[in-house]
Amino acid sequence: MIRYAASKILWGVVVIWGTATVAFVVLRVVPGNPLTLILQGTPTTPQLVHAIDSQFHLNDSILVQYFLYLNALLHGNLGVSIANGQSVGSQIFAVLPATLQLVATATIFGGVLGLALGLVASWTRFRWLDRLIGASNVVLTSIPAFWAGLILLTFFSFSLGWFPAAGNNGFRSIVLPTISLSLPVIAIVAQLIRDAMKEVLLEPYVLAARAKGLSESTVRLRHALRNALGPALTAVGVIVGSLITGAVVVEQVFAREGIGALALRAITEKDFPMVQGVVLVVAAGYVVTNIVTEIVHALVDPRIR
Amino acid sequence: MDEALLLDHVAAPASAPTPPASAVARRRKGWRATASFVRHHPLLVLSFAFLALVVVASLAPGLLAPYAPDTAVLNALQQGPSASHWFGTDQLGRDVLSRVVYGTQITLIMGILSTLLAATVGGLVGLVAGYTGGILDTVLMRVSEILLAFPGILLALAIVAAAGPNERDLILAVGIAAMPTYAKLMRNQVHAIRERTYIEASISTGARRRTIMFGHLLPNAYSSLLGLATLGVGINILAGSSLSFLGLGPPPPSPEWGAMVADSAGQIATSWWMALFPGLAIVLTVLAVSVVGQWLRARVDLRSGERAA
Repeated sequence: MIRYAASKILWGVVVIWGTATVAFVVLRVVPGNPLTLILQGTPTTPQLVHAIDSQFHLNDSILVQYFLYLNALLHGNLGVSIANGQSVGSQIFAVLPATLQLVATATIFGGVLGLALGLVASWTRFRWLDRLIGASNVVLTSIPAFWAGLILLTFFSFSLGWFPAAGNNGFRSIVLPTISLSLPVIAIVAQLIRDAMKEVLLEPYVLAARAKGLSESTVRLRHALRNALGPALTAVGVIVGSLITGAVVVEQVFAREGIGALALRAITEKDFPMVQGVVLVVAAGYVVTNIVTEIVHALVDPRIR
Repeated sequence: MDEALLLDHVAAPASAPTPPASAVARRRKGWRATASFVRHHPLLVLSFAFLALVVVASLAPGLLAPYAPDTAVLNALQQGPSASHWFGTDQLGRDVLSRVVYGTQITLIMGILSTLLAATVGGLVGLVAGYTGGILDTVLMRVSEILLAFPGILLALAIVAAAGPNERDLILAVGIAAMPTYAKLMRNQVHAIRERTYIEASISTGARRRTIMFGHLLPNAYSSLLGLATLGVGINILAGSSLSFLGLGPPPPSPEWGAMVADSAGQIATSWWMALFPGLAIVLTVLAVSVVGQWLRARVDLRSGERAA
């Protein structure tokens, strides 16, 4: 188990290094060198150019720049924001909890509702109910989160006044963002659970459990479900990753403070160290959730190791 | 159904044991098959019909749109849906329906081109990795995983941060973000196929690598890629319109659907129609593409299942 976990973690480090490299390359091969980006709109003096050159090592070769960048990363230094001269890392970590909170509530809400719907779809005697859930899954995955958010806002904030329209203060302000972010999660989890349950229920050990005279709910919830959880559990890793990027959009809709707002501001301000930092932190979050779900999966199902 | 058809229908069983199929009978059989198809797949037929409408709108928007997409009418600002403006007007007095119709082309091009890019490059990478195996396979697949960890939106953010919002880079970003999925699928398909006897046979007869890859492996592996690509068009439309919503797509006054929704965000409390209709267009298009894609994929799976058996 330790060997398995260690290999996963090592691989995770490689992925993060790769992402850092991609971010570094993308921000340097795109048209317009960083210097002109930084100086856009500001009156240029030789001193200013020199100051920026020395801060970002723009006079060194690209390879030297790359190693300086990696070296700084190893020391936990994400660089300094061009827009306000403050540390990129501290600005990101100041808003990260808000985004993580949203991602967590969306994962839990979507996971639980998806699990319930998937169980109902696999359990029901009525074909139409199973089909209805299947159809609504397709619909749910076709709805863009930003639109769902705006429609929810129109009804529940502006017409009914149940929830605040913007900001992050308290439970009520996170309800609508959570729902709009979790729609595809509900659909994906429901579909995975349903399909896995249908498959698992054909296994001989289910027949054995039934033959033993166990009640149907015991057979399904204690025996079948445990084995049907695998695919959904693996998917959660990928889902959480996509939710972090989905949060960028939802934060914009609900004017919430978070990684998304930070990234968008960085773009409009052409603050490339900030963009680089956000990309890296989000990728790291994706990698860490995937490692954790893989290890949890291996703990639940020893056959994986 | 007219009289002659009915008569023919009644008379048919009584005639000679193997009557030569008349043109009418054949046509009727075709018609009946179609009718039964429509009855059994109502959702699929509806999706096809909607997609046909979408294609018409993208090729000849002037046919469907009642007004020009960017004519501002100053005495018709932010009006709700009415007989003259079915989807209402926006804050500049532009007809929302016309803008949605004219936006179809951008959306469709975005979805299709990015998918084409992802499926072609991803498929090629998967083909080479799956056939060659060894270190190249490991490296290519690991790189795919890194790309998969690089969140799509942030890839676009990184590109747009430097290049400024535009449609070409948006397509590029969405396409690159989708690539690893295709590479992985293709690689696994090829990996499974290359153990078959006919591949072994052609290797042992000295066929060139290129012949084996493009003549034998690709034709047998591409069908599942096709199914995924159809679904992929829908997924990429969602991704692209999200980026466009964030202001990373074609600049205004482009009637791109995501951008239209973003334009309306400030007015949502008073003018719901400005956000509702372009969003609905996204949902329905993606839905139609998904339904068709799932049907295609099920068919492909069925066929390859038969072939394998």
